[in-house]
Amino acid sequence: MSAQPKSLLAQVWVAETVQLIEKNGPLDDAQALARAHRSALPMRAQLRERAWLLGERLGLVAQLERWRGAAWLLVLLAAAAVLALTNGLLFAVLADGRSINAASAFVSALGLHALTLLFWLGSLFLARGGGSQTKGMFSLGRFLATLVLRLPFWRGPQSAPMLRAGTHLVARERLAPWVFGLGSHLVWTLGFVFMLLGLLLGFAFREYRLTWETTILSPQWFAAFARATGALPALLGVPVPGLDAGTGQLAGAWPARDAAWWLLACVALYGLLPRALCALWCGWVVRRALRRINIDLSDPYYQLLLARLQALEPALVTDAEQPGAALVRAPSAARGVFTQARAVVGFELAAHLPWPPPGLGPDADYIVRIAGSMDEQAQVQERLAALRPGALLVVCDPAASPDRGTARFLRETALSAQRCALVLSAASGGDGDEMRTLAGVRRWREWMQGAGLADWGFFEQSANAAAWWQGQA
Amino acid sequence: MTQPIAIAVVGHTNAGKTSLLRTLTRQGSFGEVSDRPGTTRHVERIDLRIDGRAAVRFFDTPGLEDAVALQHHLRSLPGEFGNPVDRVRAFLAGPEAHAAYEQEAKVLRTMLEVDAAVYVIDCRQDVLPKYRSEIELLCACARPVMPVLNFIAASAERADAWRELLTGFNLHVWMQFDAVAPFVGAERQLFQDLCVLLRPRQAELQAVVAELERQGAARRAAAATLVARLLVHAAALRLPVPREALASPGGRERALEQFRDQLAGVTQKCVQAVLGVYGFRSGEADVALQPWTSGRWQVDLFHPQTLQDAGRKLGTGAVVGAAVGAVADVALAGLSLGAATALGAAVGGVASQGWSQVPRKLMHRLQGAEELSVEDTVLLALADSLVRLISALERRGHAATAQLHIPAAVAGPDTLQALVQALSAARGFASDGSAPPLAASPDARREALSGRVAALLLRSLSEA
Repeated sequence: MSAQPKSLLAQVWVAETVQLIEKNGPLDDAQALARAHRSALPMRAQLRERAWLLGERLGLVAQLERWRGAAWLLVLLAAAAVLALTNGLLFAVLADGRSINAASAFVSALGLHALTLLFWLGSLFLARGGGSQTKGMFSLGRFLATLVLRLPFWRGPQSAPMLRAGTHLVARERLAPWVFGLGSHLVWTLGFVFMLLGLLLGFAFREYRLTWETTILSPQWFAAFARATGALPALLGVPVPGLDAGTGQLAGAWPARDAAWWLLACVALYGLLPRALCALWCGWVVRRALRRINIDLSDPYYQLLLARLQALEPALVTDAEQPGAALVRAPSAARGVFTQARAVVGFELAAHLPWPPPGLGPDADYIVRIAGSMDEQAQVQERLAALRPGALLVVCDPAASPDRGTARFLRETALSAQRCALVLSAASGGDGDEMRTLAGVRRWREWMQGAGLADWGFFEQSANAAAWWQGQA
Repeated sequence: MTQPIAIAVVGHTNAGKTSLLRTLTRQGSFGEVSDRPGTTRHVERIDLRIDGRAAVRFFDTPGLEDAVALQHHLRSLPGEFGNPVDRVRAFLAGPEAHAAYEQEAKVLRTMLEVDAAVYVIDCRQDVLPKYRSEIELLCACARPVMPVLNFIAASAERADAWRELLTGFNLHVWMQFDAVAPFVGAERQLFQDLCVLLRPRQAELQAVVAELERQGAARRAAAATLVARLLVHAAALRLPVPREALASPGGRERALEQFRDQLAGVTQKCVQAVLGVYGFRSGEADVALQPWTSGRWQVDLFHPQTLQDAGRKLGTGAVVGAAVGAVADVALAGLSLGAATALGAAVGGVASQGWSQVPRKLMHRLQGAEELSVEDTVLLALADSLVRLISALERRGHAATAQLHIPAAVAGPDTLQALVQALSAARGFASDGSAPPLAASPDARREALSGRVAALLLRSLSEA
């Protein structure tokens, strides 16, 4: 859709516009967000990409294209400005037939230029200090808005928010005086170039008389004026026109050739040169700003989007669960002859838990507590196999997480006992862990069902287990 | 392009591996977290991206459930092995790797593929032989292992026993990390500790640390901006109430309620946005973060008695007296009617913003309307609650499922006094109900004030 390459400026502009549009409610951006995320670009680029995709849908990009296509209007405008300027300047200098009033020509050629240049420098200073720059921007924004929204070439459905976003952007980057300056300096520079060409042409093929006249000044004043303004051109080898006039004289002529060169040099040095330098300066600043321009990540709007982008990061299963693999289990039903013995095994109990569990100690024929190492487990299995107890109680820690190791141990012990039960040994005084213990009991109960130990008895307290034991006896 | 740093997250079942990854990747929806043992049965991978490029690749593994028996099995493997890794490889090639120890085999297989492993320990548990076996198994894979002591806050005394055990296995670099409630900078600490273990990848890890730092700062700045805009909006908020309405029975209460609702609504939006900035989702049922959305607060917090109590507390100098949270503070709203507030607002407005608000105030006066506005104490309470919300969110892991409560402030926060003073300038702004209060304002003065307030908020956040 966008044959034109996406410049950074265009992307940021579109992003700014989308932000402006979303001020009044979010757009449906699920697809754009996902596509931006898949692009695997840097963060800011992803945000710009999302805005660009939304902008394509909303017609912002098309509007931008339309404006780009209508840029010739700007060129036309600038050309008209140059034409008018050159015409005005030349007219001011060469209006009086073959006679040129040198001092007045100097002032009319450079006066307006000096004033506007000073004004621009002033605005630069104000913008640096902050403050009025926003106000200036709003007037520029309004000017642009009225211009663009009226002209048929530039008008479009999305031009209003785009313009506002553009002015925001320029205001944020404090670019207004530079952008404006670039335009005006270029126009002035071209104006002076054409004016110099015109003057050269005139001076080359026509004869002009360069005069001076006054009512209140003395001729010496004009001589001094010529020396002062001609000092700089003199450094480049342009002769300073001399004036030989008596004190009483009120009018006269300059040496025409010298004066013509002096005028040309003054226009070039005081008019063309500063404007050209300023244009270069503005161009440099604007270029640098355009290269640096980007979206502001500390803006809450972009942070919200970033959080959503991050949440899109896909999780990839690299080693999948193989169904059925864990379900293959050894049979746990015990067969054979059993004694009336009672065994109590504490398995992987925490140190602070009471041992033996209250009510179970005295009656047991075999009571042991193991931490769970392989040797201990083997020892217990051996004893149980020899004892063949009628009742076996395995005591576990409710706070611990049941695991397959525990299940394996339980199943193996069940092979040597007639009836088995699991007891969760709660800490006696610790009421701080009560919630955890409760959750633990529920967890163990559910786990027993799932681990194929459903035929086991299950007791939350050792007292209940003792009753089970007694009832059995 | 270099390969991302691969890190396996391993540990006993239910030790909090997936929770840790949720917090590290800031993804509350990653994997499946539950109290049930063995929730994760597959190996799952997720990338931590830095500037769009996968910088760190985490592998979430199933829990080691029967390390004791597996270790025994490994020892009993026939044949001579030059080193433990060959033994592990032999096991992985054997039949039991797909039968009894399928889950453990996944862990060990992953271990052999990664650059380093993070071993998550639930240090509420006693040091048992099975954990010893786990560590031995992991060490047999010959990869750097970084133990992470999870749930350290719950049992500090057992942590010592764990450290002793780890030292015994030559694991001298460990770190504390509560996946649900990580301390500020815990992630950075983790990656820096990994630097010690992974010398060759040090530069990359440092880049990750720097980037995380930058992201954190940007998030904090964004949250502060949101809160600042809310505060400016609240300070500028005014509700003109005709005198007749005030005189009528219940009219005063109705006006107050309307005003409170207005402020509470905006505050809630701000809280949601701040949650969004920190990557916590509010719409999801399993991540219920706002006690305020339950509707319960409407009953008891806006109760006249609560208001009265708050009024008393505010009056007796305890600057902030709140019950539940940010909205509660608003709800308590020591809102005042009458000339004093209006006058104060007018003076504040005139002093800082010129005369723009005066004609409107005069007009209201002539029309016989009083203006409701938010008192300084409420602004202070609101700012304090939201600052604490931000710092609580910074300490909250993305694995947390419990509701986040922002309790009432105990002492008057001095650092925020300057903020309330700065906000007095906002009294003069137009009370624009239609403009979205949390978006950037087109008014440059308002935006500048928001920036100032945000800077103050950031200062008090960094002091806290």
